[in-house]
Amino acid sequence: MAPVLSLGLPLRAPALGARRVLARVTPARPARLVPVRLAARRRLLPQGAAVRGALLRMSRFSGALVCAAALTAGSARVLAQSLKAPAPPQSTPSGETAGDLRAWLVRIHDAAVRSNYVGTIVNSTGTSVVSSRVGHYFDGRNTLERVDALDGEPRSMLRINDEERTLWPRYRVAVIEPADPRAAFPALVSGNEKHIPDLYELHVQPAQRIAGHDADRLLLKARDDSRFDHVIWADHATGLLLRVDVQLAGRTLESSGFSDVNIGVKPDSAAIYNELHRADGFRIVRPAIEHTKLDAEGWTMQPAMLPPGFMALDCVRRALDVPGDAAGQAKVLQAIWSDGITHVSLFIEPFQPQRHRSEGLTVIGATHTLTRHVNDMWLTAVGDVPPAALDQFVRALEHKS
Amino acid sequence: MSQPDSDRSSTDASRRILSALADGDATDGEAARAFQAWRDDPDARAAWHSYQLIGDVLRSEDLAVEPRADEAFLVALRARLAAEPVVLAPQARAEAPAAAAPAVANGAVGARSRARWQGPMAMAAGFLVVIGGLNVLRPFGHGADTVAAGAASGPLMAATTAVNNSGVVPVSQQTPAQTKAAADQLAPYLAAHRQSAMNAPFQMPGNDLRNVNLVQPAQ
Repeated sequence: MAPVLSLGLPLRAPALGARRVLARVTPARPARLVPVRLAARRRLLPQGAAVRGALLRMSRFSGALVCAAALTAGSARVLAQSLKAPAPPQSTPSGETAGDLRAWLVRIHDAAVRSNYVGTIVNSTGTSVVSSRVGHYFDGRNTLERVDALDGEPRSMLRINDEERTLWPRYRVAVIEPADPRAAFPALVSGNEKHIPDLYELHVQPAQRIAGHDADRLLLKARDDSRFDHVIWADHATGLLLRVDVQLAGRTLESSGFSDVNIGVKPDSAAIYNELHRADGFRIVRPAIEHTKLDAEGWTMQPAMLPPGFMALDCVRRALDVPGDAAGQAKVLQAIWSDGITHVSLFIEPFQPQRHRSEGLTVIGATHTLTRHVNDMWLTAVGDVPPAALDQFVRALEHKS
Repeated sequence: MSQPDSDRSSTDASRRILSALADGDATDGEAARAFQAWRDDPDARAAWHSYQLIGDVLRSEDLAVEPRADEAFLVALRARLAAEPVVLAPQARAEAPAAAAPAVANGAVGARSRARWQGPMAMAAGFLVVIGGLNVLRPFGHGADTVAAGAASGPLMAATTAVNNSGVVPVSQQTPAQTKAAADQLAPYLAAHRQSAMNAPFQMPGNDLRNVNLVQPAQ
């Protein structure tokens, strides 16, 4: 889960780019003049936030957008990037400019962090529909989020800044996990976003109405076979993400979106804290996650074999709770790659015949899972990508001799 | 009008039937003849369109459209239907056939013809299920025949295929229990994957609660 966001983004800059794009696509709509706020604001950070600070400045004169982000505490890694502000759109047949895409990414991300909203999200895979109730509050300092699963086993996720708890009332268990500090917006912080326009083509499509809101519709069309297309609807007024469809050749594989949402509600911290206290006395489980490196674990990936555009994001050792006959915990190594929009996990573990039975491909909505028995190891590749891409990840893995 | 009388009278009869069909008054046999004429005779199609157009315009002038628009739509629809691969034949239904058919094949009055449509509707529904399955399965079909996703129901349905060294190839259809077992085995991996997915820019909140029924806390 994303921890508190600390990008002091000038709200108007991306909005300007977004509106300009929209005005061009729908000429009937009069383009509104939006004042550009010159002074970048620095946001106060909550105590304990893993992300210490980030600042974006927009200068009207240079047109340069400077992103400086200090990463995790202790690492003191500072990235400074000069990024072009959205240039006047050029009428290229291949879609929008890279600057436009970046402006949309920033706008949508910013809205996801700063908005106060309550709504119902429906996820549909074509064969199943599940919904959850979501409340997200930001009071200027703290991010609070509560997600209640409405179908199946009762389960609630509570997030307070950079800590996430999943409550299982029937089991009286609370699973506490730190949110990934990179979740702040790794695509922007890591510089990965520079490659997104090489991998996806942005098309701003005619606006539509989603969950009672006028929404801008964007198509991120994959430029190759290693990823799916994404259709994105963002609230026209605020930029809040309203719906995401994952598509292949125009067919929707999976859709996630609000069926209704109230944006701009009053922050209701009691909704989170009361639920938190209801879980007093629950057994606390803190899954051990240990960050490592693939090559430190004796593995390497042949870069030429990997699908284009995927960059290594992380590698962790973790214990998975295994259900069924061979119930227990399995120690696995999980390596994660991202292309800036979607990500792939490769799980590596010793082969266990009693547990690892079905080698093959499993499809749930857009999520594909490929399992393969290689020598004495069991590999599981998971991602919202075509199976051929997963196959490439599995084949690229080599044991260092 | 240089056509012989016999042709003309048969055409008139055909038009009468088409008109009856448009009004919802055609009987079984008449409907079948009308469909036949519609398929084989361009004039009948034109007449059918005229009747519909007249009806539409009587209801609202906004409904008056160029015949070519309909024609283009139908041509495109037929072409796409023809191109649609038939992967699975619907299973024969075990139930007894529907009750005796009413005398009127279609009707604007509603309920009297409903029983008659149940059979075709059920078949159409079966077809949609297959298409739904294909939508899910096609990405890893690679041109080969794909497998049905089984009859599994519930919060999560998965289909599993085997792979070999040349890529992904399908295997025989799984039973729902097998599908469920495969999905159960994968659930903790999916949960771990989705949890580390929170960095994705276009992620709806609560994404990692999706496979809620399958992942359970450590006992």
